[in-house]
Amino acid sequence: MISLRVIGWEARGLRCPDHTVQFSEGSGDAARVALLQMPNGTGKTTTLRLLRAALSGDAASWTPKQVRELKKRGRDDDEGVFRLSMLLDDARLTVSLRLDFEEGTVSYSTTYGDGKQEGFKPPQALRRIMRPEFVNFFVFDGELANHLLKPSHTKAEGVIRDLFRLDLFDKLTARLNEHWEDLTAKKGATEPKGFNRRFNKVQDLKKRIGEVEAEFERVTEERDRVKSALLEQKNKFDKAILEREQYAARLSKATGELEQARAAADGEASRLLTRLRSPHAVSPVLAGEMATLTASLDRVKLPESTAKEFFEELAEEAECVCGRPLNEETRRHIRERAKRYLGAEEMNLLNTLKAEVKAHVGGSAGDERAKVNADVERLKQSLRSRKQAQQDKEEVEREAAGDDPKLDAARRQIANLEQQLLDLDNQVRRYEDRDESRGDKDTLGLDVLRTRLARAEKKLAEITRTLDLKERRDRLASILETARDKAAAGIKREVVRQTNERIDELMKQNALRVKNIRGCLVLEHPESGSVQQEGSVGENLSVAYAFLATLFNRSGEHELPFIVDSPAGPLDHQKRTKVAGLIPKLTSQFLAFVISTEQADFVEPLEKALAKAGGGKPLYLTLFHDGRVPDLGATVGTRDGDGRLVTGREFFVNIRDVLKDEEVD
Amino acid sequence: MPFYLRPEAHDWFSNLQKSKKPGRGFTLDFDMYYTCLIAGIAAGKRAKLPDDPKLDLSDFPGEYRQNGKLIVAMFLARECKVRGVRLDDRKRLHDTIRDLVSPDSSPWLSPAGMRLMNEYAAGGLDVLIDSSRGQKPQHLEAFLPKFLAQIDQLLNPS
Repeated sequence: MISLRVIGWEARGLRCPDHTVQFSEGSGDAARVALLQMPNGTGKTTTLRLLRAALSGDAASWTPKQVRELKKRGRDDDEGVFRLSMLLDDARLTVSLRLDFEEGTVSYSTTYGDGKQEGFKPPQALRRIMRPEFVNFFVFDGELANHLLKPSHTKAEGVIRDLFRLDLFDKLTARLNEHWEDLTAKKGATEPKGFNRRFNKVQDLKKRIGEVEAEFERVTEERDRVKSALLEQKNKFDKAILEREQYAARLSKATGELEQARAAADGEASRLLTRLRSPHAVSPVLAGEMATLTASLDRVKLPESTAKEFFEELAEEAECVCGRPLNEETRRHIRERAKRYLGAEEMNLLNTLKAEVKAHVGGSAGDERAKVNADVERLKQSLRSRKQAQQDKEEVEREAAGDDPKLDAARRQIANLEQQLLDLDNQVRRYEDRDESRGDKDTLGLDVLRTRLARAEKKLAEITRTLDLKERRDRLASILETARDKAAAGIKREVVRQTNERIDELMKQNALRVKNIRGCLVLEHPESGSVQQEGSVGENLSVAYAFLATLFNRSGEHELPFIVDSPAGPLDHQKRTKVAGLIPKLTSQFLAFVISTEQADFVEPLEKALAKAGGGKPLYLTLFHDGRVPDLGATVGTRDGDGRLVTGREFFVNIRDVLKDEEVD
Repeated sequence: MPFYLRPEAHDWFSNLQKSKKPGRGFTLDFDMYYTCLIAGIAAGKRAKLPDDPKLDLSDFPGEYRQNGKLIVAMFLARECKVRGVRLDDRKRLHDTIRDLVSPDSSPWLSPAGMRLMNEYAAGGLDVLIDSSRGQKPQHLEAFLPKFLAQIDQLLNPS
């Protein structure tokens, strides 16, 4: 619940009489109803403008010309000051404007809670209300009533949106979109187009893998078939040769020797590989470096005999191992120096490394490499033997084939199959290619394609999640839009109902009512059902009062003051009486700028209604340029610069005939 | 699995990977890594690793387990030389060891040491490929003597 009341203001050096008005009553509470009589020409428009500026902060954007227009005529003041004092609930809030006529600027200061702050800084609770577009609804004149009813203006709808925070739905939608953009900013695609691209990529890769797997299977089967055929053909060939006595023994011998030579070569190669798995065997240079490192570690005493942990524990003790007491300084020093030592586990590892090197590399760095060299020589020898055995076997086969055309044909077929197998082996190897540089259509590397498929599926999953998120965002945005529209419709219905209740009181004999709110207030005559754009001046003002009272005095939510220029001016006498009677029900505080001609049929009904509502009596103030009232004693009212302010009903009522002849402002 | 082998290595060594029979080819995948590492260390050549390298070789398998500490010692000795650490400079030796070695992890290398070793292995593959003018090794029995000769040449350039 926000309750805002005006307790006074002060004006100096401005285009209105200098004055200080206080609406606080004896109890200190702000007056519930105050009537400020300012004859035409005393700066009523200026005062209202400054009030709006103090409530909205909009003077900061005034042009120098607008600022200088407010300078008091006939005086050479460099600056003017306007200070508005209010009560927010029970705390004082003051907004001051300092108008610099030299510079043509306005500077604000705000005093609330913690103290004075430069600038227009209303408390958080009032920030949505103390704005230019809002203030005009509770500091208003007859012009507003017309705007509320004109279709060319959307003030009625706008004030409902602002007051009931329907803009929050749009802000939530905007935040939702921001969140969506944050989430998707780093993802490549957020639209169905991106989804289709990624989906197609996955499908293309799956298709490609399917094709390559089928080819791989075909080539592998073909290779296996050729391999079997070759083996079979070789067996047949060898069998055919063995059936010929003159070659059988030689072929058996050659085959046996070849197998032995192969086994020997494999054994030598295996032995060499095993030996080379020890790095010191690869090169005496590497072995030497390892041995030198180990010896150097010994020389420089690494690892130390004492571990870092010893010193860290020592730093916790009361005294050193030498018996001297330890203080914080020495402890810090010990801890710092402890960092120079290896930890116990590091020490163990380093000792093990050293032991391993000493055990395997030993004193002579070239020992293992010498063994390797011997292995290499044996390997070369075995390879030569294998080659010789191979040639011997082939020689027997060639001779046998030379004697028998059938064997020769079979031998050629074996050669042909061997070539086929070689080609097929090479083909099969292409499917094991791991080179990533080729495109999907150019590579046969199944692992490469499968890895790419996994990546593509991951990206597709990402966008699928993204699209799912988008669908949820759209759904939530739609819910927010529907909620906003439903809330707006419900609020407008309720505002129309309550406004019409107030209109009932104001204009019992008049059937004019608010039908709905579509940008502006739409009026109707329920009996005839005809829509009416606007009523008479009095009807319009009555409708406006009812509407604004419905908005700005909502129990449990907020109570704002009504500051009204000429509240009864446009009304006929009958409606004046009714409006006056309604005012205590309209608002918690009613401050009106009146001119003398408005008093008839307004002041007395207002007094009665206020008394009936338990609101006491209205506060009567009359402000005018000092000297404008002839024969006024110096003790009447308060003189303040060029202004004089008189408080009290008697002066307020009786002076009206004198004051109504003032110049028009 | 802390060791990173460049994917191209599988293709480069494919002929040595066809048979797992002793003497016919590499019987351990780690043989590829080790061969590359020795070449990289001998040439002092490192290669940049991918941002998120796929670490796919287990920690010192088979016979490499018993030689693991020797491999670490070789790497340490070589890196001290590369960094210009004088072996009588106790503090720098101490700092280098602390930088590269860690008793907590199974290959006994710190993250920095592990990364460095993987960079040498990655660089070593380029050394092997460049020296053979792109010709893949065909047979183990031919590859091993050539490899040894190449390492000798790298470590004894004169």
